Amino acid sequence: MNAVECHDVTVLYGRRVALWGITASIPAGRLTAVVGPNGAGKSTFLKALVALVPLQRGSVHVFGMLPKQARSVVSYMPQRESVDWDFPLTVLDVVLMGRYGRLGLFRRPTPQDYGRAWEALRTVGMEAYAHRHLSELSGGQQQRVFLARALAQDAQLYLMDEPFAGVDAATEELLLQSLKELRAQGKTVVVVHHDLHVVASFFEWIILLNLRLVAAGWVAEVLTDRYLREAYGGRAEILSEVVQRVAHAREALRHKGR
Amino acid sequence: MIEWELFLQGPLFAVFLGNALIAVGGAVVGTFAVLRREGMLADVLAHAVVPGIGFAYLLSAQKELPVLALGAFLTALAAAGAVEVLRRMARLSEDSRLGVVLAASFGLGIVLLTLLQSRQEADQVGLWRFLFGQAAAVRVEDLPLIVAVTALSLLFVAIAFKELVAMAFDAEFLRTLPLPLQWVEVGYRVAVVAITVVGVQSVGALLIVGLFVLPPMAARLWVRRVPGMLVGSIAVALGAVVVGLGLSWNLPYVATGPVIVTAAAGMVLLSHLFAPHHGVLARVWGYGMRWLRRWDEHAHKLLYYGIERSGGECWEGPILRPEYRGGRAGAVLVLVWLWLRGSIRWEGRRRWRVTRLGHKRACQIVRRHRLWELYLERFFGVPADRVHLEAELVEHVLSPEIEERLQELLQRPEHDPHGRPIPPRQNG
Repeated sequence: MNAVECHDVTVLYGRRVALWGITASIPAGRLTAVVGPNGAGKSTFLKALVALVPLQRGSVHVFGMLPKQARSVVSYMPQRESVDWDFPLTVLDVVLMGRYGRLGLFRRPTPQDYGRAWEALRTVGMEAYAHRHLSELSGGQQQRVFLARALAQDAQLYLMDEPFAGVDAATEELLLQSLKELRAQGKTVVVVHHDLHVVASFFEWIILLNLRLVAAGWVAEVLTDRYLREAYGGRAEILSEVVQRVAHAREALRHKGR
Repeated sequence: MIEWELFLQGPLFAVFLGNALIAVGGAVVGTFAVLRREGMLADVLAHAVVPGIGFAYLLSAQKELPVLALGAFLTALAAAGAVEVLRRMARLSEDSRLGVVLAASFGLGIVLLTLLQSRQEADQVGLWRFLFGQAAAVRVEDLPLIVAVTALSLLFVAIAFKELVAMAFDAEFLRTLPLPLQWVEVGYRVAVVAITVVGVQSVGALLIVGLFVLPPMAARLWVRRVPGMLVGSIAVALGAVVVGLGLSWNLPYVATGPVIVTAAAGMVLLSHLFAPHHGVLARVWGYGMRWLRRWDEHAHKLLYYGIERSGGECWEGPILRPEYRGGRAGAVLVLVWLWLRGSIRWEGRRRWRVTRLGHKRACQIVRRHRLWELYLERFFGVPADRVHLEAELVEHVLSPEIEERLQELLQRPEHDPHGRPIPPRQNG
């Protein structure tokens, strides 16, 4: 079963094309990476899945529903830089926002909601920071707060925009661990990512974008020299090295699997 | 007592209550305008009130506040709509969009008012007061409308508080939740417009943005969370009203509204000076304390060299190095400082004795300095003759935890790259 079905999805910003005719699907219960060069429309693709941007053409279905109807089972994590981290809030305040969708308008969080928020904070190792002000956090800690807010949503489909951008090694490890746990719980996770090495060794399904769809499929089929060249264009020297690393990683993974 | 009763029933009380309510409403709603970085939008709406007042008088020929307010309310809402339409249709930046709507609506407003003036009506009706405001002219009859608008706005903020905060922080995330947030958005816009409309007669269309943005800006510097910011900006707004009314009652020719806004601006300035953490004084203080700490540590380093020169366990003798470059006055200053800190004791006849505490402090700073030198040399291959200057900078910021990790990493070394001993840590 597919968690997401896109048909001919086209998004324009003014007259500028952000996405053109994307037809692809994302399998349920798998880890999916959305990959492509800068300005390829990766973030726009995620936003199209939660109806944050209007579609010029085409359709999106999430678990067979329109994106707006599917909102109660979808968790969207925006890019860390998209908010003001000097905002007068504490860490716990932000994580509680993950419960707002279930709470409904104007209702105050219940003890259960607080409990779920604390649990999410524990999962990301930020319990000690619950009452800290946002401006006191490092980049990696900010990302953990966003992850905790997403976990507190208890969704079926998680969409994460560049969660690995500019985080420390410990946070990266924790993010990967959390993705694994979500996968083990049968959740579908879609992550915008740019480190092809991690993508090859960790994710199962891949969507390769460059304004239009370059390829979508299992990582082993898509991460080939031809498709990468098509997506990333001229920067071939770096590319062939990356592809080699990817091949090695896949080889190593296969041996580990046995 | 009689004076107090007179005040409560009289026009002065109406002036005070009216202005206070407008300021409180502006401060509460304005807190979210500031958090959303939408202060300019509030200014646009305030300017768009003027044509509404002109239209309302032109059509109804009445000068009652509710009638004029209705016209003002409609044009301000239209301006808010126009900004939204431009956002979707035209490829303009946010400031240009706001500039276009502000200029167009305010221009239209002035055209209407001058037209009415040419019929010699505007002066009689007092329409010009909506431009510059006439805080002292708030009448008892105006109070019900002001009370109603402020009360409803505060009630709305109380009900939708959690959504308003979350939308100001991360609107994109909120829009992905299964919530009908457009109603919160509409309610917020209506509250901004309504308070603007009733406030314009007091402070004036040109200045009312000050009531929205200045109190929250001042409050934000003092608090950590949004509830505190709301309380703080209400306090600042009330303070500004008291100062403004007090001054203008004593200086009859000074306009009240501008004094209120100027007082609020003054409080922003004071907050920038005195607020903890973010304030200028707090930062200067922090900088000064860091400087003082460095100076203190340098003094103790000199003390250590004195101990080292006079040999091992012996803590006596002239302390400063002969090659100390601070001059005689500098040397005296260092000695006095160390004495004040309790690091040395005067024993008479040019003899000083280093106290236990002083010895511990002196060893600590030199230990950190030499550990860092060794760390740089061993792990980064920095030549021994270069490590000293680097360590001069870093020695002041090393914490006990980092020091301990360096000790472990370097396996508790005994000598630095120059072959000098690294003083060990004494217990007790």
